[in-house]
Amino acid sequence: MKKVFMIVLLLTSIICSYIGINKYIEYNGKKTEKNNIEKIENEIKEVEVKISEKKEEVNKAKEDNKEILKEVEIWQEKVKKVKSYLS
Amino acid sequence: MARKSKKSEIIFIIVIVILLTALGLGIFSYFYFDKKIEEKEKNNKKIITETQSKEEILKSKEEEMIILQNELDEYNNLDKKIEDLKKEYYSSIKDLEDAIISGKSNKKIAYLTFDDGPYYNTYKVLDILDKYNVKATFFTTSINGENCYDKKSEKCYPLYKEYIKRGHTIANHTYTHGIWSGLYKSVDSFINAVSKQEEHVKNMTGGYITRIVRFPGGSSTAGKLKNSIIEALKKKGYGWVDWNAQDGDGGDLSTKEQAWSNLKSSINENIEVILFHDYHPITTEILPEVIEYLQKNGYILLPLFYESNMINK
Repeated sequence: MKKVFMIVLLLTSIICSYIGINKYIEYNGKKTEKNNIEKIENEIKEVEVKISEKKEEVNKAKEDNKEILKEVEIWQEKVKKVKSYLS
Repeated sequence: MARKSKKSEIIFIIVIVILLTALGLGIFSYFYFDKKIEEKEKNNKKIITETQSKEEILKSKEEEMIILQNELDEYNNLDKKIEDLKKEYYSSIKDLEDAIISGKSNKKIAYLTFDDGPYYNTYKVLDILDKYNVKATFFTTSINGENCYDKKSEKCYPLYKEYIKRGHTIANHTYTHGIWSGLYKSVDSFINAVSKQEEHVKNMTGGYITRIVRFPGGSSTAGKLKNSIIEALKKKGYGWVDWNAQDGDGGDLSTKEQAWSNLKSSINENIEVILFHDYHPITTEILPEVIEYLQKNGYILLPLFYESNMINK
């Protein structure tokens, strides 16, 4: 009886140890995703600053080219009108 | 014997403890690291989701940058945009002409042309055209010099810039208009007068190039020299045009009724090139009604352009 108990206990503890060690190995083997979020957030901030500067440039260009833009509009209207005669 | 038995009992207990410890550690490790794996996976998923979201934001910001840069480039290339639009405009008119000529379109075009200016009266003509948003073609000459022939106290050269400002075509009617003073003496005298007028227009406007010529008096006035002049014009890249309708203001025109009679009897094509003179008071007086008449009869009023089918090249 003692022997049987010992053998059963031995087998059980070997199995449990094996399962436990396997789980540990599995845990260690799991890849931890690299956290680049902060890096990307910094890049976003940099681009936002550039966007803000670019918007200022665009607004200035729009202001400086007011008269020419009117001329562009006039020609666009002319083209639209003539093309309407073709349809 | 009793001592041996006690020793094996102790060993037995120790082994049981070790085995139970191993069993316990195994079970604990299993559940502990299983939970840890779950947490790791959850964390990884969170990082992946957040990273993807941030990357999408970054991508949309970069796209916004590209759009802004394209917008800025457009503002820096507006002159080219206008040139492209002009090409598209005249190309579309040419397509319309082709459709009319081939019978595919029942539309009609009338090109209003005004010869011999600029005059002081040209301002009135321009104002009338503005009122109807009609663009015309002005065949200019420098026969009158800088002072307006019809109002010597005024300068007429500023009208060249006015033509462009108001969207009209400037064309070439030769510098001298010297029908009776040697213009048609030779091919060279004609071509020189054309070149001189082109130079004059360029100077007055800051670079406008005229490529359309009208013979003073019409091409038949050139007589035997006509074909040679046409060849010479072609070599220099000019096109030329007469007219196929008029109100007669280039001759003896003294009444509105006469003007209307001349005009209505000469308008019978789907594409008309109508001759007027911007100094003539009767033409100026009837011009609003002429525009309304043409538009009511289905004519689209447009300025001439080099690529037009009406320009001989």
